[in-house]
Amino acid sequence: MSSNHASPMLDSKIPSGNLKDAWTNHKFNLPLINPANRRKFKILVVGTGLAGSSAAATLAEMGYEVQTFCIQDSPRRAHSIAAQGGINAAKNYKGDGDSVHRLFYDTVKGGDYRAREHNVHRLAEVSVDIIDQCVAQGVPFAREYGGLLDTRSFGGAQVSRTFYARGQTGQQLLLGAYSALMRQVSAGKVHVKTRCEMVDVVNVDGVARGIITRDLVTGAFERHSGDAVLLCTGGYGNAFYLSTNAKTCNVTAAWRAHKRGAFFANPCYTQIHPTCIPVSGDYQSKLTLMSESLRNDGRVWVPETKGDKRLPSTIPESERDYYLERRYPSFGNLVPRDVASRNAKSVCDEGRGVGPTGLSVYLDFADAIARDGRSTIEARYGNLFQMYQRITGEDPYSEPMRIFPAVHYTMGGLWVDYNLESTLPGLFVLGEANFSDHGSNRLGASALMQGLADGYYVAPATVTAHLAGRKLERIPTSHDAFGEAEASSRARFDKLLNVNGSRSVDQMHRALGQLNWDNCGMARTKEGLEKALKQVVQLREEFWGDVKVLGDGRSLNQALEHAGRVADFMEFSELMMRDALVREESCGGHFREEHQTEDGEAKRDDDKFCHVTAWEHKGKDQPHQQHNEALSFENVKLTTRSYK
Amino acid sequence: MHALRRFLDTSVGRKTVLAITGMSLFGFVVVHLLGNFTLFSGTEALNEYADKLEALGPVLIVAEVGLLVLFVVHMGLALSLNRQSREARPEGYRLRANMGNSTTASRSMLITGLVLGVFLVIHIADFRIKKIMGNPDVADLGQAVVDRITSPIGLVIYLGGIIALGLHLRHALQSAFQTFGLSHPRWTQNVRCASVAIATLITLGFLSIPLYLLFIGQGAAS
Amino acid sequence: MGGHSDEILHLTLNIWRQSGADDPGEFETHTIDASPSMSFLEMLDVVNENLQEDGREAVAFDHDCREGICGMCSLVINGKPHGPESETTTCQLHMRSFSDGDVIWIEPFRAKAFPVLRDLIIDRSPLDRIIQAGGFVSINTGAPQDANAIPIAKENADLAMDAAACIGCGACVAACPNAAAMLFTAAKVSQLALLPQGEPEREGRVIGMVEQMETEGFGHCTNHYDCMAACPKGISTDNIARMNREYLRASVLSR
Repeated sequence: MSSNHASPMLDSKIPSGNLKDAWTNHKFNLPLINPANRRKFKILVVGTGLAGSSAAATLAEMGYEVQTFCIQDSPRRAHSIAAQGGINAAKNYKGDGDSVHRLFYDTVKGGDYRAREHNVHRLAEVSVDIIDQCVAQGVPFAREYGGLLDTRSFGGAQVSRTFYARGQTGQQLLLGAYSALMRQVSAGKVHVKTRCEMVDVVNVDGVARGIITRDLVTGAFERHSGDAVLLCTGGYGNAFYLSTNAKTCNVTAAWRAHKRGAFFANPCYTQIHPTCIPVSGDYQSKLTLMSESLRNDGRVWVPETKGDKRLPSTIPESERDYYLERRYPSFGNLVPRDVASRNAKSVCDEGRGVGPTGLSVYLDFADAIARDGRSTIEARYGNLFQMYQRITGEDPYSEPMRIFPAVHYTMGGLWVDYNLESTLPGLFVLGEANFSDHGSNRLGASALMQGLADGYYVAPATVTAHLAGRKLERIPTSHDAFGEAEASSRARFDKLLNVNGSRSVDQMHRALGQLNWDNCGMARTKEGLEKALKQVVQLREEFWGDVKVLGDGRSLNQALEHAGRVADFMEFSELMMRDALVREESCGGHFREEHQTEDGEAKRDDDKFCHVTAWEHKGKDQPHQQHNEALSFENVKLTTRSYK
Repeated sequence: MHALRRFLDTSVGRKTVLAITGMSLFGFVVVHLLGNFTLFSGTEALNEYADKLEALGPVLIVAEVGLLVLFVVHMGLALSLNRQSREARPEGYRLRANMGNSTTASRSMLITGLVLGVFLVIHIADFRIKKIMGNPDVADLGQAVVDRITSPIGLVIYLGGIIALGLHLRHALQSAFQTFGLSHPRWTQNVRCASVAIATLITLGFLSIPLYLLFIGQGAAS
Repeated sequence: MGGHSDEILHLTLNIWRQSGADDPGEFETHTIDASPSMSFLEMLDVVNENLQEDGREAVAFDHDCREGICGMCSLVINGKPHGPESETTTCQLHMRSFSDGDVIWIEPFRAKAFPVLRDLIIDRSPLDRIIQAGGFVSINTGAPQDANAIPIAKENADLAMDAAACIGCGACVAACPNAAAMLFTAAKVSQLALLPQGEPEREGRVIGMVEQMETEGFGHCTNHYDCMAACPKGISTDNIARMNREYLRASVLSR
């Protein structure tokens, strides 16, 4: 258990006592603030996705003064909007044996036993309230003919607990939260700032008391003072350049906070989604996800022999390898995301990948169409087939789809305690930006649940406790800490503009992405990571020595925005690799080739690595310091996931 | 009164009034056409019909003033809405493609409306004003109508007015249903078809009169 | 299957450049060799890489998710908002929709309410303010009744979802000959008018949202239905009729 001992700096504040009553008791024990006094507090919310919008709206409803910040032109455009599949909730409306405990159990197991039991249980508990809340807001969930809510089974779950709004559940939930936010704007309780990026957190005597922002239209730096800062800024998938994330998704806010004292936890946990549309050329700017529901009817295969360039329809059945069905007879094509992704990579590594680049596998609906008829398949997946055709120009009804895995979600993030508070007091981290609830692998339809649980239910209670529990003087923005933070932000952007090198920001970002994908992607090795760690330092030096950012900092300059984000990805990637290097086991989205079973499955090491790794920034040019938070499993038995 | 002003302050409200006045004017057009059909029985029949209308006395005056008000309100609202929309896009597109749903009729509502306005002025000056002034030209109103409509200039003006009316109605009728919010998945398509059909019928109805006079019944009429 | 990927399209682009709100702006002509499997925005990415290579600033354009849902991308391409394909956002438009030798005009969405910030980027904040004027249900986060307490006819739920699919991109405004925001506003009014949750605030909502739409300086509706043709999500103009009905009803009933 050598590396499992807990660091004294990581107090997870997990409530004691029975798991089932923990959240209820904890809420009761948290101090409150008289409604009349709440208006005296100002809360800064960065990011307006599910977590940010829901938290900002709820805090404003409670009476706090709230200001939100987002980089898009409207809070409604945050990337939560792109979630397709659905949102889990332990409603058990179908009477098929679901319960809070089962959702809790599935999520802990799905996360490959690397999440906190108490956090996950709380998530399962509030999942039920989320659906009630969203319906009351007018979210048009799918319904049955009797007028009641419909659910479906998603991502191989054995119960039907996923609520959905066509293929646009994320959009509808976000618009629900956004409408609640807009209501508070019209009530004068929320001030919304758009096209605005947070570039630093202001740390006053060890407490987060404000942020520095840059207006993306005018380039103006602004100081914002508040009594608490909520980071709801999503994940860091774009460190890989190509991902299913929106183009402006970035790690900057989290990384800036990290450099001001917030520990970064488990950065190596990244989720690679198996059913994405493959890369078509070197101009590719992003990857598009198709719902994994496709695997319910599609069969995944590659040719038996490598380099087989025949048209798929001319390859006889006997010369096809349905490798998922062959290797996992009981789950077949429905194995979890991480398993499906790794297998696609390994057949492509063997040279059996298909398509012009050799980096894709077939997802074939021919059998399903023969069995159920084209109209049935069209009713089920029509919109997905249409999207595929639009992007690739190929007709998936007549030839198999081609798919390849892509970076999709990041389970790692800023370390937070049970109250979602980071190691920098007063800085709360919600949604994908924190590390808390998904362990090393996130289950389908759980991200929306977590974002809204954090924003609607958890943060409003715990932020209140933070404000009630201490005496917070108003900090004027003329305070030295603001001055220092603004000056260093200005200096960073000025420096970017003054490099005057020869390579565009996009080129440098692509190079970084390739390095991360090759060495810290679906499969990682000690050797590869060590080599990449050297290369990433070198790339960072190249960036600061040779990047070309045209224009000025006093007007709308997208290249400059991008440069700031890539600079942070450069620093962050080193930490991600280091984290992957020290986690000498395979779990969930983290697969170390040295740690696999004889038949190539992930091999966890619960004796040494049943912990969260949280990294402390020790200052410029100093190595990060590692801290561990031990994970204990008292309500779920640690077992090995098997899908054979 | 405050509520009404608020209503008229929005384009949706003004558009509703535009549709109400438009539908009322459409009703008048139908009645007027039916009146004109008396020409098929000769100029005397038309004179008889006109005399009956004159006999209504004050009622006729109220109706005429009412029509005038309807027309002025309709035209005024259309101009004010049009102005709002021109201001809403001060800089136009360099290239503008046809999106596929708008029609010649829908795009030319302002023009057809203005043409109708001019036509109406001429039409009223020709007959109604002269009649009121006791001008001997229109003592035999039926004959005056026939003379005018069969003269080359008169015919051109008449045809211009009728074509403008047809185009205007083609868009206007279904548009009014949309403006009143009378839309239903089962009925909307029928309403749109009916709108075109009615506009066509009205146009043909008005056209039938000079055609009849020129080619069939002119001898009988004169 | 990817057979035409080695084909190359030689294109001439006329791109609107405008350094800021005060600059009158003008078209700038560029030529580019594009692959048919590129997306339209990837083609613009290449234009920008070339420009920067030459030491010229990149063309600013809005984009984010690049999968047709965030509503950030815009552009009027050859006279059509989001380009020539129906129910397709600019980010999902691919170059195979064009032919070798094509001349392509790229302009921002134009409306007084959407001032140009730079090049092809416009300010669409009026749409947020229209939602602020009533596009919500006034309930606080807390413990509402069970989600299944009020059954909703599937047909109504589906119609509400059809309306709720709006991504707020503003293409309806860009396509409308009058620069009206009727389809955008109507989509939200409709969604909530179709659901029992919207009932308590029915009158105030539609009046508030319609009045805000006027305040923002949009044009009026002449029922051309070009907005529906341009809408990348295929939102129906039946929603405009529903909003008109709601507005009329509210104007009569409200106190």
